[in-house]
Amino acid sequence: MGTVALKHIVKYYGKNLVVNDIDEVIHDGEFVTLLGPSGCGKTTILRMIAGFEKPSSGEIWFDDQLVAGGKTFLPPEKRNIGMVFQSYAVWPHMTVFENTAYPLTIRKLPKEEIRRKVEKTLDLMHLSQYADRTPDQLSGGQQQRVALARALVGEPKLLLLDEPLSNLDAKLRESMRFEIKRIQNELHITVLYVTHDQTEAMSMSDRIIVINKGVRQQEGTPEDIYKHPANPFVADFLGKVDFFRGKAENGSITIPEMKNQTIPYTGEHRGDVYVAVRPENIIFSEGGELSGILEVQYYLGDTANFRVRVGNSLVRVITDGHAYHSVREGDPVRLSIREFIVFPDDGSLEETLQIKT
Amino acid sequence: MEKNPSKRISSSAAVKTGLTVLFLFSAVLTFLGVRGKNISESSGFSSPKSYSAIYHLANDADSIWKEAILPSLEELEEAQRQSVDRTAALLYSDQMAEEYSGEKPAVLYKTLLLSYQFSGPNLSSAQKKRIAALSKEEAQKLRLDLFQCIADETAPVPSLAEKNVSGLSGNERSAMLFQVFFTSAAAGNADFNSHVILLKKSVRGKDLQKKAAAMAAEGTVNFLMQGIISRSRTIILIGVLLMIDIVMAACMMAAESRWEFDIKWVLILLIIDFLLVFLMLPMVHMFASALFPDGKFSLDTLRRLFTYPMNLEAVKNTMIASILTMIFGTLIAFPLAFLVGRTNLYGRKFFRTLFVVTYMVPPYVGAMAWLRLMNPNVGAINIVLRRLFGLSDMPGPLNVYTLPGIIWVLTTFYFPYAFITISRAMEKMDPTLEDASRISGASPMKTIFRINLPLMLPSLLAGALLVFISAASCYGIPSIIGKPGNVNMVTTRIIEYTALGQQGLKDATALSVFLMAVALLILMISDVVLARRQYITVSGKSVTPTIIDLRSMRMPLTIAVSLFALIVIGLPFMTIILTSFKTDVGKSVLAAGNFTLANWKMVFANNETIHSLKNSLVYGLIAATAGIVISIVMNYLQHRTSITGKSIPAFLITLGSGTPSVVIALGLIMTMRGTYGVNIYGTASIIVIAYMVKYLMMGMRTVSSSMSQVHASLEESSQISGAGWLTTMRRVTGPLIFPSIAAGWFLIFIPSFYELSMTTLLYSGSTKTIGFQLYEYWTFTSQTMSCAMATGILLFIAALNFILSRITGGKFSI
Repeated sequence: MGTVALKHIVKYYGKNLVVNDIDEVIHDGEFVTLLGPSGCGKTTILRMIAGFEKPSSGEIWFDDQLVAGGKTFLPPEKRNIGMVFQSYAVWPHMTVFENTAYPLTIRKLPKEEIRRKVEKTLDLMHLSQYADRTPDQLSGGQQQRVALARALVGEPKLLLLDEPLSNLDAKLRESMRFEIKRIQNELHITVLYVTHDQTEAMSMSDRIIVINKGVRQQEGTPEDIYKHPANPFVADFLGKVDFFRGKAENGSITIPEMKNQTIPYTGEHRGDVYVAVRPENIIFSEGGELSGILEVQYYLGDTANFRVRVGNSLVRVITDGHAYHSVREGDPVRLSIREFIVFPDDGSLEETLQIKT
Repeated sequence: MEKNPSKRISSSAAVKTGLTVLFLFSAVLTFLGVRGKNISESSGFSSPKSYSAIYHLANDADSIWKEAILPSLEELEEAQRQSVDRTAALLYSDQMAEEYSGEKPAVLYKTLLLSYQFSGPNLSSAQKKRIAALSKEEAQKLRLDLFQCIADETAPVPSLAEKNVSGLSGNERSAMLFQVFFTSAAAGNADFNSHVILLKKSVRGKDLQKKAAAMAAEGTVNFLMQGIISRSRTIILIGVLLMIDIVMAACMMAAESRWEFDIKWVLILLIIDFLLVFLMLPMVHMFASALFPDGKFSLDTLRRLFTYPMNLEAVKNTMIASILTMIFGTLIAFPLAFLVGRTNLYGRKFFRTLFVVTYMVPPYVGAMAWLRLMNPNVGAINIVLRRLFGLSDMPGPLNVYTLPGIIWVLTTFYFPYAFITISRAMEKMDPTLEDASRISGASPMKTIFRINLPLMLPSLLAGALLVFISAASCYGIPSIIGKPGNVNMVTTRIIEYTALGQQGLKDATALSVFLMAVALLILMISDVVLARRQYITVSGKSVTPTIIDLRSMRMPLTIAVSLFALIVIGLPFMTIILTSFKTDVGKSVLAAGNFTLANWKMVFANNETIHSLKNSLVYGLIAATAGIVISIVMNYLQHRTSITGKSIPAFLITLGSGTPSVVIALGLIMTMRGTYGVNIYGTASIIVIAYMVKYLMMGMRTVSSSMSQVHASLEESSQISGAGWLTTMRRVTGPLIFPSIAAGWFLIFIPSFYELSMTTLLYSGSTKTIGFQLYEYWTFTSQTMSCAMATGILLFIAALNFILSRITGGKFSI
């Protein structure tokens, strides 16, 4: 079992539709992330795969075994899945060793085999020296590694991770990202990861599924989704973006709020459009197509950030740190947009963008 | 921010000096008290108050001497006066007459005046009245005439004294004339007589009386001395308390190396003092009198626990009943808590409230109900069972007047204690801990046994121990059921022994020490051992436990729980209410002519009931108000300051709440009748204090829970917005913790209002409370009328609960 197939999964809580017709296949050995704002239904999907929730309709298949759907429902303990919870859920009354050994003792494996497997897993998680400690003697990061060890010790084909890093501090989070990725590579297991943090999603995933209000918005590789967002929501949720209303004509887009300055455009859209621009795709350039006045700049080391007043709009610009001293606040500047995305204006933008984590 | 360092040093030196001076002062005070106590004890006077009386009498005698005796003497001729003086000296003692040279006449006459109050010739009260009725001039005339009679036997006797001296001659005649004289001289001084009465009470025997009279006449007792001697025990108490306070204050200051006066320390010390006097002193006294019965160490008293069959029986019964109640109570509470808290049982919220509300019902009400239901002859359940199974033999099949009967009632009454503790632990548990077990391959049942139970074990044990000690300390149930059934428990025996007075005190002490020791042990286990093992399993996220679907068992289990609730809660309440409308308790309320409102009328028309109701309301009101003020102050210090020693009062308060009521009351009786300088025996104060010692914890805990949630930053952000401390309290802290203050107040008020076990020992004629009154009516007068009262109490509690839930916006109810 390494492949998970979700077939038209729908989930209601009472009359509340939380998951709407999710149809996905997660392939063997794949690292897939469900990404979306909190309350979008991603955790519910994960819990349905784990067996803690029953789909209202639709089917869940593990390889060629139906685990949920119709009259079939396999409880969590029969699904052989590893899972890590946001709160770690490490049992306080057991030592690290006992916590990790639990799935094996439940299966009534011989003692010697349990010891061997637990030691191997603790070794993999760099936890060997903590085996006899109780969770209250461990840091948050160590507890999370215990949770991971416990999830992996039974050698599941599928590992579910429910926002596992959100309780850790920034530095630890970054190192755990690599840890998780390293373990996945070593064990070749399928990982389904749930998060609202786009950086986590982008850095680890083979594939990202973006979800909002229980509906799949887009799926694809991190680069795909970042570069070619299917809609303004995805564009906004992944990375930074500024939206401008404009009118697309043949060869150019006129932006009224920028005092009708135009940018060259050769795409297929015509009429009312949104222009989505990522700040790192704008550069200062003598011959740039937009002119404005630099209002604010600040220095962040690896990058420098700017706010440029173009007509009535404030345009964000991010360059590398070296550009910081080349301009001064109050200077007139010219900007050139290297890349942008155009969405047809269906009037729903404000509503879409209200949802943020 | 640092103050001028030199200033700090000098102020710290001043504080240290002040403390030393204060300590020396209190040491001197203690020393004086001890001296005074020794003087009063070696004097032979039976009461230290004698010294106060002697002092006052000296003043009285002095003014009588100046206003009445001396003027009369001065009007006599020299020879007459010498004759009167000599007679007076002779009457006082032959020896004195020989020595008497006319010096110190004041002492002579005052001594005679006073000693005649003890043992002079008697005047009839009619005679005294006649003398008192004389006008000032007439009295003066009378006294002059009397003196002339004494000086000269041939002088005419004033008509008023004629009858007194007829047939008398010589010394007897003079003595009688003097007595008439003194009666007239003292007539104008009302205090004199009351002081004499006071002294007479505690001074018995001729020699002592003579001694007292001489002391008063010579004025050997001055104001300070009488104050110290007559209040020596109180002075010792204050001196010792002050010394303890100063040492503690010094320790606190040293611990913080902050030698300055801080009002917070005073507050803490005042609360500690209160608990030292009214909790620690009685407890220590009780242990001491058990271990050192006659000043020497001896285990005789405690040995009586096992050697005296009546004690052994009580100990055995209590242990059996408490252990079984604990086991049954926990066995009932755990599945109930699970069904109500974690499954989709129908009406789970309703059941939860129902089981928790039982917590607030007085235990004796439950006992009364079960006594009616399971009386072997006329109990409703027995009648139904006999009819159901065609049993004809009268007694039985169930009999409440037995140990199993008591255990049953105790269980129905105390399982909510375990239910509340276990429910709380169950709600607090992070459900992902269970999820993690499920995903690891464990079935729901396995998860309960391997995750839930071990995690909840400390709380489970704490709940079980709470049931154990509550059952062991309960008086209401065994007193109502056990007494008629002759099943004796430790609590009922303690109260019986105490009623016997001095001869029962030894056994009462032994049993109390036993109960106290058990309570202390349990308090220690649950507060120290178990509390430390309680796992913090609350995650940052708000916890919504996963609700387990009972599926096909949903309906059957709901019916089972409903039946249980009906039997354990519905039936007793119905019985009490219905019985309150009956004429004949044995018949159905629907039987012809059995329905009546007379019981209710009697309750409301009865002066006794109204009086005791008033007492209960007033005592509860005072205890709750004082208790909540202490709770607020203590919680403020505990949560908002880092002051050293802030947890000492909390510890003592926990100790107080863990001490069985009966033991608290007995301890107070033994120590608060003057032995230690406080005499409040038989007053309302002793009752209110007992309530406070026992129930303060309720207020502390409730206020604490909300105070700890109001983070200091909430107050700080108000202050940074420009609000002063008072405004911050009024606008931010106050509204946030008000609901818990109200709840804490009610939680002290309600048990105080219906209290029985402590009041049984502490009441006096005028301080009966509604709980005790109800108990008396039940035992001696009318069960139907007590049921009416019980219904009234239940309605009152329900109303309070409703008000509480209203004013706290539903956040708190019991």
